[in-house]
Amino acid sequence: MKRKLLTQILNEWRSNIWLALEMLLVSVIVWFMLSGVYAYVARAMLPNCVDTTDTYTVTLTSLPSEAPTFNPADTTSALDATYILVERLRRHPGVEAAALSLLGVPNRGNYMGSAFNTLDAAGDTIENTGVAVLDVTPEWFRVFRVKGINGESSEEMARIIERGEVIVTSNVMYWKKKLYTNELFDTLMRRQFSRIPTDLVGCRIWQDRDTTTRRRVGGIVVPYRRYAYDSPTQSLLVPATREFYGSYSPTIVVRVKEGYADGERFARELAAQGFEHYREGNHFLSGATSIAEQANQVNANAHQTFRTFGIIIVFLLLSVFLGLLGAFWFRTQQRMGEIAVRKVNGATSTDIFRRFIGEGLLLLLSTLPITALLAWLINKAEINMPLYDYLYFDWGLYLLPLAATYLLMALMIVAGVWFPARKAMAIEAAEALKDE
Amino acid sequence: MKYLQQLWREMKAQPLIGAVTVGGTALAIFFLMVCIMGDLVTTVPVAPVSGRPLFLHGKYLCTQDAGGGSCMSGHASYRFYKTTFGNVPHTKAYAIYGEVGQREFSAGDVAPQAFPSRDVTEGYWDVFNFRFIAGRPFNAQEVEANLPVVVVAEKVAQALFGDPAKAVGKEVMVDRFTTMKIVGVVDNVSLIAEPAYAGVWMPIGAHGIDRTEYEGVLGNVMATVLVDEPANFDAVRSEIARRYQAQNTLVKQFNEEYEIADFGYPFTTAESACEVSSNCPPELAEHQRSTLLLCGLILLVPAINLAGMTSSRLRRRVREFGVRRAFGCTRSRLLMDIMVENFILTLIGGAIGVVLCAVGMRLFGEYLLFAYQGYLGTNPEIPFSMLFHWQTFGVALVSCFVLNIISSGVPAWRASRIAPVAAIGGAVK
Repeated sequence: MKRKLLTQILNEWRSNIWLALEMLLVSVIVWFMLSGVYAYVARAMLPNCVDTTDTYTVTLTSLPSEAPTFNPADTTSALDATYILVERLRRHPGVEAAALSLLGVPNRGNYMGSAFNTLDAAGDTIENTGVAVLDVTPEWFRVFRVKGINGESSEEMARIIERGEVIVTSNVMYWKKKLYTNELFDTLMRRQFSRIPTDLVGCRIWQDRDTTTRRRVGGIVVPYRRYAYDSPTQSLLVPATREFYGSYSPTIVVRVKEGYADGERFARELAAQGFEHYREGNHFLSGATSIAEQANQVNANAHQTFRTFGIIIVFLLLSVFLGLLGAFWFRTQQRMGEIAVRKVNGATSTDIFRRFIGEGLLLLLSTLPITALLAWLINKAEINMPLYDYLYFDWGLYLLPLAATYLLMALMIVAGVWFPARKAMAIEAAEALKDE
Repeated sequence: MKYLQQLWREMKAQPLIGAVTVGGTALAIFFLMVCIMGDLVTTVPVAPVSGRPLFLHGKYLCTQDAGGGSCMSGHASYRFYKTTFGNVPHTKAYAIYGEVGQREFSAGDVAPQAFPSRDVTEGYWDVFNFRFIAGRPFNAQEVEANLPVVVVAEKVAQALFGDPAKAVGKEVMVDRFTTMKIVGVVDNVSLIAEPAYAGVWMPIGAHGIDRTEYEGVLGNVMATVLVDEPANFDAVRSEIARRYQAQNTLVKQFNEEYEIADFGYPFTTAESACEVSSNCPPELAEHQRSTLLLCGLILLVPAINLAGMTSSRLRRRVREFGVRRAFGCTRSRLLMDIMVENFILTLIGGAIGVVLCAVGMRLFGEYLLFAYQGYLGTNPEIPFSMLFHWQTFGVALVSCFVLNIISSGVPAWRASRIAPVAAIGGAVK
């Protein structure tokens, strides 16, 4: 039956070539988009060192000079007020931990690049690595429940920062293959950069051009990702200083106790009582926003990409549906005689229906090798790299979207051929052959 | 007329095929127009951004070291734009303004509500052609003196006072503590009219932004200048670019290794729409290439579809073509007839596509064109003047033509080359 179908497809090559060409083109585009979506989802599923559930950012508002309660004699700066109010927040019955940070606030997208030099035991520079800097305080580890990759608790990690040491993310040497054996590097790759040899702990480093301050690496954490679809950034966690916050205003971040986070009780209370109870000089805490909720805005571009891809895929599949509907409608008319002869020879209506559906699916299958080859070439030429955000190639990125593409196409083909095939089933053999 | 009759006969004989052909074309044109409009919303001149072709923008500024290895970038400072955009020969006006932000407004017993608000200079009202329903814009003296006056959009006046016409002269409470007076009410502005979009406008320096906060070139504001006429556009651009370069002295006071990046500042409206981040130049050519590629694909897939269908349709008419050829009809005439017939069909599909687009944009415009749902809490209204702009129509018409050439060109050419005897005898498939 399959051979006969193939012969029939070849006999009608003129009209089939249009259909196959369309299926091929649509399959390649749909694969391209689905593999992009796969890359986004794969990134979102990578581990992140921060846990943002029940965490909030707190807004500090300064009174304008024309406000009736403004006190011109009070010269407390916004930064001084921030430090005092964060202490007061720690005593709030609903607050588990409160910290200050600028670059380590998830869903904000803040980024500051830097580089550090790693020193060997003799004090010689052995490596220079570009990293993102995260300013952290001991409390930051408690707020975001950040643990070490060797099972160290948040408390232990906080103590490393208290000692003035730095912490690196486990992917920090990702590009620096030569530091480790190839085998180790490959292990890192396989584990999606989530582990690194612990011998980096104890290394001394110096940052940028500041050769006078050498710091010990005290621990390693899982890579930090700033938002859901962010690539794991190689990061250096350094103790935050008041001097740094003098130049760049920090954000207050808090972890709220479970009962207080339900129904956003903490945020409501702070908005209502902040002016009365959390005021220092001419500054007060005016509200709190859930960090998880802030994800919508920072992920908007990714969601727009999904939406655009979704709309394009629907449009292309609709085109395939219409194309097949039209083409197979013609075929049922042209092949009335053939269908009648089959029926006379014992073929049931279901056989005829299957034959039509099979013809469409076989035509689709004939495009698979070329689609697979083109997709492979696109991967090889790295045309889709920006979409993947420079994730390395893996088979899932290639094969899963290919399978999903062909499943979608098959559904469209069945839908497109369904109506003409039903019409073919209904052909009366005697009526169709009366002229013969 | 005879083409229409022929088409009508065919449609009656093959209603499903006719519907699929017209439906496929309509779908393609609808989708293509959505893509084109997504692009046009950022550049098409509609009030209050009617001056878009004559705008030059300063949205971001990047300073970097000579090798481009490290950089500092963001918006620029008030004094930077005052120096570079101010009093340039052959310009009508220039505006300095901040980002749109949500502020709380209340009046009398009306509970505080958040509206998108923007701090602007007096030049803003000359660069962008707002229509004042009541009152007036604020002037240079009011901006200079940081007076607490605001202009509000009709929607805001309605929400706070019920009647927009009576809002002028009334006081509003901003962010709980600051009282400001409404001096003017303007028409609502759509989100697509960026950078004219907001619900409330106040003098820069009166409430949020401090004009003197940033001493260097980087800061927290943006600027737009309106060139007086197209002939002077390049000259104004060169002059502003020269002024940017002159600011390198100031840049070096803060970091002697840094200078203003050579990105091609200032930018036209189309270029500025492609500025996705402050530390890299807008990639307009790249954007245009990908838009072209997308449009090409949108046309190609249905074109292949329609070509297959046209080919099948024409095969049913082989005998007719044979007879016409036998009676002296030339190949070119036959080819032309088939093409025109198909073009009419494509046009019908195209017209339905345009109507679908108009309806779709009214209903789902926000979903189709914007990353944020209810961005800043305001539904972006797409004015009909933009929907029925000649560029949008032009694109639809040209697309129909191209679609027709691709989809019916090869089948028509093949049909016109059929030998009359073979065709009449039924030897051609």
